Amino acid sequence: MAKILGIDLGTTNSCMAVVERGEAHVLENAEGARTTPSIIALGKSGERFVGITAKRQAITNPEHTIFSAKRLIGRRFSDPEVQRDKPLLPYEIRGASNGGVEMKFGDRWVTPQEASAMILGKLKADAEARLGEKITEAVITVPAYFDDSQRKATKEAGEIAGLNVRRIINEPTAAALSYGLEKKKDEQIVVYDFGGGTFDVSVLEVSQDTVEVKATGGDTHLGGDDFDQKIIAWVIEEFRREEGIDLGTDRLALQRIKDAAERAKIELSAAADTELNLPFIASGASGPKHLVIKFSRAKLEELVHDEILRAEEIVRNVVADAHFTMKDIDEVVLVGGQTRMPAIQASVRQLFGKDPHQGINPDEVVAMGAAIQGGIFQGEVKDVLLLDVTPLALGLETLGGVMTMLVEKNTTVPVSRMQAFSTAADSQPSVEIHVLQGERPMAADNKSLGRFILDGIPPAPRGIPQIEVAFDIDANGILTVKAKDKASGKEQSIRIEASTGLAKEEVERMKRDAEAHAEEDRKKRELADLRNQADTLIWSTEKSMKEFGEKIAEAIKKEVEEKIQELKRVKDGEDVAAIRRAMEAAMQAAQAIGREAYGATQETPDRPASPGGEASHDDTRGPSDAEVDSGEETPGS
Amino acid sequence: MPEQDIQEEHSDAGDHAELRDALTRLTADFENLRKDAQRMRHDARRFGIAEAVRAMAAAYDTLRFAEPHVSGHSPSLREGIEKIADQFAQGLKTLGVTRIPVEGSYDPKFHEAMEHISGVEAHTVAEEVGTGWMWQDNGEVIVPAKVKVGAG
Repeated sequence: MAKILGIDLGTTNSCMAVVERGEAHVLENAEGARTTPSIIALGKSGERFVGITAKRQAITNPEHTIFSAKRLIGRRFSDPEVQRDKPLLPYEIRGASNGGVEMKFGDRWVTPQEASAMILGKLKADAEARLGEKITEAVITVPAYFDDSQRKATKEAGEIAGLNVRRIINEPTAAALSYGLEKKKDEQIVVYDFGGGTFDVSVLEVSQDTVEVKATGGDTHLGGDDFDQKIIAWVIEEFRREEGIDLGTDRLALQRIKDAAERAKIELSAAADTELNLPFIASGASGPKHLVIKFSRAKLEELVHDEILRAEEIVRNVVADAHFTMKDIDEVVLVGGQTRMPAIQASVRQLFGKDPHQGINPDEVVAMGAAIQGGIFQGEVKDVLLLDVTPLALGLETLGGVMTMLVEKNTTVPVSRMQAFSTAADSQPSVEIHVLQGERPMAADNKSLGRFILDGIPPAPRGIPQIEVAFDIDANGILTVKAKDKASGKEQSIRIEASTGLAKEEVERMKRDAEAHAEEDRKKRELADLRNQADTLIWSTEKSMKEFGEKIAEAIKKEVEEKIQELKRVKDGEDVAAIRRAMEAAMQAAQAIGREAYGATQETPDRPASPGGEASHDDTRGPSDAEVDSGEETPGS
Repeated sequence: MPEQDIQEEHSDAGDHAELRDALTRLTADFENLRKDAQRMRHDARRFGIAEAVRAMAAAYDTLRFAEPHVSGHSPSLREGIEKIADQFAQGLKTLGVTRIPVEGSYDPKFHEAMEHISGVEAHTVAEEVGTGWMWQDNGEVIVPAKVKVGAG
């Protein structure tokens, strides 16, 4: 099944991830970066830039560089949020005829959906290049506070980009998915998302199978970028105080300070002290000036103290909105790069009195969750839906009283397994499907869950009818076994409610039994298998004799008949070696039939051999090898 | 595994086929892992070099900022500083990293625009204010060059 792309379509940056071999991981874009700026631009000569290239050229082309489309998507032009953001945007926006927003992009107007679609289109193309396969489906995240119109517009953006949007999920829900928290029962989870430009808090309630957003809040203009600005302002002020030079007007110096401030901020998450060291930052009357400022974690915390307090206040309000107290919150998840800051982690710890979930990159945790949701759709992440596993194997009784397993123990449900079987005798009109549960190889030693008969099978030689038996266990552990004769289309089924409902002690006992009887069982199974092989050999040899009777010399006929009689005599005994010997003798004799019938040409099987049916790679097996290996077995009847 | 068991595996063709299948899969998995490991080693080396270049790039630029400041005092000191910068660039070259050229037209694939200045031909690089670094083999950008761009 094709992969489903998980996309965190952010205000500032977007991130994509995918589930492969059951694990979610972030995909790098074409530039080798794990996040992509959510920026598009139209160059002077009409070329389109998306992502980092759009960001790099922004200053040369501000009126045709669109960022923060997410702040406008699905909104009406008259919305107060749009009117508030309008003066902050260097590109032109206007009301569309349908009341929505349009942005000037070159000489045309585009909707925020179209702008977002260009970002999604790049992610799609880059993902396809990374994975070497087409991507047609996606799960896209949106903030929990997005209304229907904003969600619908985000879905449209995906569709414009050529993605079938399997689901729009909430960012906090995606973050919780990344940490596997949706498996918790009746828990309250707070997702604390401190990104570059926005701050969001959500309270989620996880109950049986559902994740519900109880309350959400935040500040759409509070983020890590504010922290950077605080540091820059402080550095400029320090330098002005010491050297009397204002670096705020020198764009190059300002850029160097910005880069250094960002780096220092990151360093202070790990170290208590760092140094801002920018030699030759300016020229004074007495020669070159160097900016060297000691910067401590304490100083940083002092600089952003107000922002952290503001965030704390928002958290308290949101938790109160959800009608919870801080003590009711069971889990806290951190999202957004700024949550790497120790002071923020300490603030969260102090608010809730517990350690937040960490460990997944907070810039990537939402995209990973989206990918996991995609993985559930593509069937790769069964773990997340994990409700139960089958405690014991399930199967049915086949020829010789053998238990043929269709669903092994510890298989995660829901699960479907199908296998084709056939008849054991010529013109057999019906088969009995005897559904079994247990680990033992012989049917009689396992627990019988139920049985039914599929009849009306049109007369045919044994082994010819194809009876498809399907075991389906739904998420609630209800087993449905269906048998269908492919020729007649006749169908029968049975529903077993308590297939996984064995008492724990019973399960344990059955497992212990299986282990204790392993050797004895193996022998029984071997004998049963051998008898089945002998039966097949007898049947196929007799059939050939009938078919080619006149072409075969009497002496050979006689010998074959003798050997077959001998095999019939010993096959129901307990002596494995005797059965093997008789089989081998019969087989050797039977080979002569082939030689007589076809001359020197290779023996042609009377039915097409299926894959894996290599004749005589084990000399105890007969010409019927292909049939035995074909995966078609004969249910007992 | 006791010898008896081995004989029994052979006597049971079903088990035999299963084991052969399992072995084939395991061998394939191992082959894939080996290839993955090789690729990962290659990627990890590049990743490490790129990280180091990002961390050191500012120091190289500072050397270049220093040059004009010292030229009035001692031409040979200026030359010395120039040579240190060259040494830095040569060192990176041995690791497969090269300077991003900035001559000619502005290309956001390689150049980060810091300022838009009039009086210089539009869409050309007016001045390099920060050195860019890229992989020599495939031109993948490690640090974009910081430039002033002409506005016409």
